[in-house]
Amino acid sequence: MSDSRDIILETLKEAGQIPTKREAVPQDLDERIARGLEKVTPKTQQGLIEQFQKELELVSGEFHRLKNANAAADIVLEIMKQNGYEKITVTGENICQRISDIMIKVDESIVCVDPLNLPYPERKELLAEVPIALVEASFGITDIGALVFPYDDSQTSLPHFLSECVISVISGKNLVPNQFDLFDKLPPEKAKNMVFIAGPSRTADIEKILILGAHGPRRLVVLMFD
Amino acid sequence: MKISLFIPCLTEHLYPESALSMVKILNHLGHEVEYVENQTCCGQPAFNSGYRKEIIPIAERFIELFKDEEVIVAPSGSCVAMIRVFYRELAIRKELIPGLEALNQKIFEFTEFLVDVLKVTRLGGRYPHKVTYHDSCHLNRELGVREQPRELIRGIRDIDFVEMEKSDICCGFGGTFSYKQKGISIEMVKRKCKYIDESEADFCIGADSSCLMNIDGYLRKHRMKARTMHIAELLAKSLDFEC
Amino acid sequence: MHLSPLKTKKYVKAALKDERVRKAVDKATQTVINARKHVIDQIGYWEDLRLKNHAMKRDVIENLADYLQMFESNCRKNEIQVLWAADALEARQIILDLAKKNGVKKIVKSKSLTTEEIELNPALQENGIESLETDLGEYIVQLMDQIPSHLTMPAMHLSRQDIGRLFQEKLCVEYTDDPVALMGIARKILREHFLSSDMGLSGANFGVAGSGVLCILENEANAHLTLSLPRLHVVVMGIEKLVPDLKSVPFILKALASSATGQKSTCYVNFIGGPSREKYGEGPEEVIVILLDNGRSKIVKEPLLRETLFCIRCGACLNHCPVYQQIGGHAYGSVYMGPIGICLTPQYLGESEGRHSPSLCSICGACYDVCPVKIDMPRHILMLRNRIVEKGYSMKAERIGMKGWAFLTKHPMLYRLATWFPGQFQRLLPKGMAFPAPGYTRDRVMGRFDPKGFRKRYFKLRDI
Repeated sequence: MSDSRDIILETLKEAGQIPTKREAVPQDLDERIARGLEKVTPKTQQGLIEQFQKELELVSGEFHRLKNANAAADIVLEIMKQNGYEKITVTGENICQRISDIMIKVDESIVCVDPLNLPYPERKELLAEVPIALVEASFGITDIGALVFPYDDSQTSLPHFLSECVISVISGKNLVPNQFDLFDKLPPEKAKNMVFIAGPSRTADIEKILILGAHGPRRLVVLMFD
Repeated sequence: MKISLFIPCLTEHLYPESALSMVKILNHLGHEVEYVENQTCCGQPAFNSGYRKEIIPIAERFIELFKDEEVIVAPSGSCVAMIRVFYRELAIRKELIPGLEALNQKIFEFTEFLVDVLKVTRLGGRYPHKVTYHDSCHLNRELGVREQPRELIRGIRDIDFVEMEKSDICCGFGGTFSYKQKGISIEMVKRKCKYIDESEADFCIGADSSCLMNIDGYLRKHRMKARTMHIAELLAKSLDFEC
Repeated sequence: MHLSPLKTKKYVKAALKDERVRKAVDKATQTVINARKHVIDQIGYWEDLRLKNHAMKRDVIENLADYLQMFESNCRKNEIQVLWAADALEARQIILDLAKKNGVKKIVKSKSLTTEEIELNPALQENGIESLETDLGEYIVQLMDQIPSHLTMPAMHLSRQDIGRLFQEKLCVEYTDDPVALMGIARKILREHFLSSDMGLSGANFGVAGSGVLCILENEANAHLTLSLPRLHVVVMGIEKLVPDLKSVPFILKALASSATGQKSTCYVNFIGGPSREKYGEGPEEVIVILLDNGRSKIVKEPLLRETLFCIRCGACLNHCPVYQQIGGHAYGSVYMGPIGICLTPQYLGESEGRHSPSLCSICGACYDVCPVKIDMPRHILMLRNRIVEKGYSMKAERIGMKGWAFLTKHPMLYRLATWFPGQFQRLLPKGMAFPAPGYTRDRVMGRFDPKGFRKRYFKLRDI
């Protein structure tokens, strides 16, 4: 097999000696693209939030703008009640913990599960049973309505994919206008292991009809705190 | 301006009216027109089927024949594209390359010539019929000529110009493709004719006789209402020229 | 089901007769064409983006040896194992060895054209390893024992009724043709498999050389479950699928999602920078990348044709190709179909086996218009036609005809004489009768040959 590696690299090195006529690339290409991006980038925080909401809703995500953890807890409890969910996975620190504390106070019958306490394979078996998850996104990309979860921050990704309904909190301050900006802001080490999520899972493999809820969540709810 | 004519083989043998119309219009605009003797073919059908070695002498002959003309005009986008875009891919004699480069600067398709070089869009003609326009692939994509034919059509008084659906989808001719993959070719022209029919136009105008022959052939066989017409003929008819 | 590109004539005939499939193909391609246009109209810098991606891929392909070594080294730093496979046989063997070594009984697969290319599934079956496609379209096509008919919409040639009957027959469930219910059936069945498989096998949309990271785009969540639930994650990736660094990623992402499905972004974009079990307590214990050559390095040596390796597998060329729209994917007889497919097939399989592929094209150029990395497919197809002729694989009758025509055009007198005959023959035909041109005139009337021709008429006109 190391022979294959050598043979392949040898062929490619030879190939690299054969030049091609290159099409002239305009000197200011990057600038032009940056200008093009700027034209469609909202100039204010409010603008970013509105764009994020619009794009998220276009991909069938749900959006709520909230002032505090109490309001968030209300929404989560409502969803759980509507669907008869009794267990919820809670990840993320701070705000998610506060929300789950409030929820437990309001309704003692709710069970909040912390996946990080469990080793594998118990973790996956448990999470496969819990239909709803409360998570926290590190960033939001407004031009595509996507949430960004670096694993260094979230420490897990299974609740985001095994649940029926994912509720993600995000701070309005962590919105970036596009992916170009994201990679500027995100430390390269963090960017190596992460996932973007833009709406609930979906497929159009049957007659190009859009179906929400393929192998992953059927529902994605975003709770934005300013 | 002395304009030399490049007459593609399909035009020469099947649609001379389109070229005669072109001559009449150029004369009408006050230009001298000349037919370069001994021209035959640009070699496109062979090139498209993969024969390059065989057509090098044809290309060299073409360049020698035309390179010293002042300006050359042809009633066909695909043939002009063959010269301007594809001849440079052939291994022609090095000493002819400057000739080819000079040629590429002064060889034009007819509508491109009228609008971009002579700066003419209104000829002052009248043609009170409903027409639509088919974008031939090479003219549209290789030469970038889309607006010029449309401007010329719109410049005709009382004409009712409607765009058909997907005016730029291939009609299915593709030279030897129409024969080698006749099943697919027929389905493609069927679709094109459906769009023409849906536009309710009486005439489908185009700038390439190969496409027009293909489309017309299907329209006639299936007794559909519309017929094709080369844009040069349309302009000539609008000026009441006999062809 | 094994298809051969040599048999395209047969497949095309069958495809043209199949009204149902043709309708489905037309509907699916039209939907994506419209969605793509809608998204791209909002990207004001689309043409610049294409230039950027083209330049970036050219840099990668022309320096592929360096970038592959960079990728390998950075992957190793991230504890991703890198193996090299010269051809399909070696790639299959590597996977079988890995499966054996790790006692793998069941594999879940997320969509990967490279695994189709290396014909992995039959090999796994022969060795008693259960392998399940998890992308809904691929799962359906697997149940039917077919290959996908499109790069990104594998089951687009099937109706919901077809799928309902298929599930009823193969999965022993009650018949339904409600798409939501059908998805629900597949979800339930495959969820069990995700949770109990030993190995997840996937492709990768691209590898980031500068960081040693794999990037996998998807909408269904099946790829994420494939790469995170089983103990082993194996990736089969063509050597050409690299981008230089993380900063290049957004350029490709914007181009890929919009061109492939007319989305602003795929639902999920997965970045995999190593086996995560130790670090995060979940995910695979091992991540192994198999770099697949299988004819690609040979193409890199081609100064002009190497551009065909820029392909990011979006499928836009298929959707816009008027030939593909008429015949669908299976008619090409190969895993790689449509305009890019007919460029790749003669290059991967040689001019003999690929001799018919470039004829499935009318050289209209619609593909080049929409390719997000600006691959000049019409030019490549013309070049490949030339190769096929030079190697002697064109039809004899055609060769003779072309040489004859070329001879005539060099001798104007003979040319005029030869072309005088059809016009005269036309005169002899009853008025209004079409010139006979067998095959061409099956559904069309041939044009009328003018007995005089332009030259004679022109001189007559001039002398008036």
